[in-house]
Amino acid sequence: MLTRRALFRVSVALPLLAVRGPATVWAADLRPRRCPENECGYLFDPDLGVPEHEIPPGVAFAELPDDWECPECGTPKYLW
Amino acid sequence: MKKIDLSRFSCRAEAYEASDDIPTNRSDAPTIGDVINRRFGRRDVLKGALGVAAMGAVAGTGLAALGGKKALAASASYSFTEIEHGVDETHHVAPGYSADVLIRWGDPIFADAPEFDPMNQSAESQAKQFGYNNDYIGYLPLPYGSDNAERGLLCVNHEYTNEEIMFPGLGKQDGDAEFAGMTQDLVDIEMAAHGGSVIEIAKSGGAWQVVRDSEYNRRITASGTEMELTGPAAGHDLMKTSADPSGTKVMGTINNCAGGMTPWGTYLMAEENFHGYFWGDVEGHPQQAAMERYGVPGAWYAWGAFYDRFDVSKEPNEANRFGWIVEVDPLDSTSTPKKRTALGRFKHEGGESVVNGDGRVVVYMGDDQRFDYLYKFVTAGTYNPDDRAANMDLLDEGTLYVAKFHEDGKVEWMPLVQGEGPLTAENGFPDQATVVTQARLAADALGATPLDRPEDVEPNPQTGKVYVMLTNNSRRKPEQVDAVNPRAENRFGQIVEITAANGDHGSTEDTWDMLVVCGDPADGAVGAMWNPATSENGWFACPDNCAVDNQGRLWISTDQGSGWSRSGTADGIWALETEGELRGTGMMFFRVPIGAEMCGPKFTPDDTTLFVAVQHPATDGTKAYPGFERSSTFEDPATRWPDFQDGVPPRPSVVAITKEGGGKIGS
Repeated sequence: MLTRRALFRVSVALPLLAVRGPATVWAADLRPRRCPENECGYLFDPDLGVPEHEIPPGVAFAELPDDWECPECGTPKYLW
Repeated sequence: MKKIDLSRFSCRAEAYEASDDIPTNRSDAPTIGDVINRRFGRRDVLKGALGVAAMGAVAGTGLAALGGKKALAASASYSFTEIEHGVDETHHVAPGYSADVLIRWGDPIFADAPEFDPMNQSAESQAKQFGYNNDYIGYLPLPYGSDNAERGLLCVNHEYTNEEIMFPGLGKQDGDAEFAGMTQDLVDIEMAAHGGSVIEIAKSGGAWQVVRDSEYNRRITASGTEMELTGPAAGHDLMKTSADPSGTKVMGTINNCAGGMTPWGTYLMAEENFHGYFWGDVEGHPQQAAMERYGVPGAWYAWGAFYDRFDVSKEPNEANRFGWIVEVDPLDSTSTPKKRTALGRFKHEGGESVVNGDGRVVVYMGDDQRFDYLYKFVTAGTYNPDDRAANMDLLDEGTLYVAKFHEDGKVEWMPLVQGEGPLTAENGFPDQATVVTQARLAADALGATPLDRPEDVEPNPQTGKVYVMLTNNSRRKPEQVDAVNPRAENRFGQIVEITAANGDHGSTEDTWDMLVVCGDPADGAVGAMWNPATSENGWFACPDNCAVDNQGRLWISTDQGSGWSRSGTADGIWALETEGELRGTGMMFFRVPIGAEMCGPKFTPDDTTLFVAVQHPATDGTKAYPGFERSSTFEDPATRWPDFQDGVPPRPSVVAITKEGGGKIGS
């Protein structure tokens, strides 16, 4: 099924690839990632960014600062 | 929160789309401000040892292992040799004790149930086997009414599933993979692995065994156990679905975290993170604000892909039918579990109860989310110890209260009663059914105190005190610090002690104190507060569940998640002194294997056995596990506890701890 998020990816993210760089890199990077912590459930979604950390939409997980932590539970990036 | 360096980003958006992952409580209940020093200064410092610890913490001095052993020997409530902080592939218990695996995920619990076969799982088999991720443990002595510590019913919750180590060849099916590998067959197994188990156990030759052919044995699941909604919300429009136009019948229960055993021998299962199972879009949903306040939809699982009821776009009210306290009669394996709506709908951690002096029953409940609340329910009727049947619907009538903590040490219990205060039709609460179903919104309106994730709450019937586990809250900002939540970016949690006024648990005004502020007391930056007699292994982080033994002593279990990599120790069980000069002294008793969480501590009535639940071994923080440093999968887990056999995945299990040669635990 096509979720709202998937639809966004097709309609918005794909055109972005054309102007922002090699599609092979961006196509992989712009997928959302779920926090690995049990019972946290936070979804890092490049479509949304991380407002509380002033991370704008369109930033891939790999581009987050090394000391970035899950805004919900504090799990550091290196444990994702 | 750490400052994020934005210089590497090419643009800065002016507006962000709202995320469904920000804390759902946007209540702006006033914080008490900079009161921690006043609070500790005026009250606790006068109490001696804890005050010394508080001042030490403020001064940033190390407090661990400061010659406390002598004092400990003088008046300690506990007598055992502590184990050490650490993490490895297996469990550890204090010397002189045995810790034996009693039952594992997949073990058959009926005479005709198939043996565990991880390569050939099915929903049908799983429904006859012990479920996944054991959490709450209750023990009901048999025969009913006895104090038998050698035969009884174990009532165990199965909170959730970890598909990446449960199923072969799958890997983590998170938002990244969009559940690509999840088939309906796998989802059906997950549903059958949720819920709870009632199993008869008996001691034979000094060892606990499961009685497989017991008439009491039962699996309760998300997909195969019909339940009844009772109390104020039963039959209300908010409960009606296409499958249940009456609004009174629900299929199954999910995310049952902790729970409780009532004085009349029923088993309470607390439905916690129910939001994580729902899919869909709440934009334009008739109860959009309420859904968002509860974090619906969470989409943690693939269930919404195969079952429309787990998609709020297709079945708007199904999510209203979860998030309750479920009452099960373990003495009748055919009984219909009841969702007791009078106790409110939120992310219930547990439901431990106490018989009040006047015979009413009081259930204490935490709403386990950052910035959510502490509740209690006081029955209208009274407990009849001579007539079990007369108590079976006690939880349908009574008053639900939410707590407001004041800096002067008072706790105010505010009733969630329609028509009182702000809970009026004009404010969106036309009836009591709406008040209990949207209990979080009602508590917001009343100005309850947002807490650092209230987990287990347990009354001590011997002292009238109530222990509240506040596990952590990395999202609390400095300006949100208050007396009962004394640290910003709180990664370690605290334990609050409430004293029922004159021993009356029905009171609407009690008092509170801080018992311990958790974390490493040797690290001044942590701001921990322990009795200085606490050793370097005696402190802990992230208190989650607890047990009061039959001597009135407190035992704590922890859930740090990947935070074990900060504390340097896996989760476990600690004894914690609550009275006298040693109040606030911890001692480490048991440790779980890598990646696991400690749940369910429960003592037999004579304190000779302590049952504990080892949940999700091999999952949390394994990328920080020295020598492993990767995520676990079925094929490649960080530990194969407890079987340690090639091809057998790690298995959540219940462990029975006894003293070698017999005797009371910790004595």
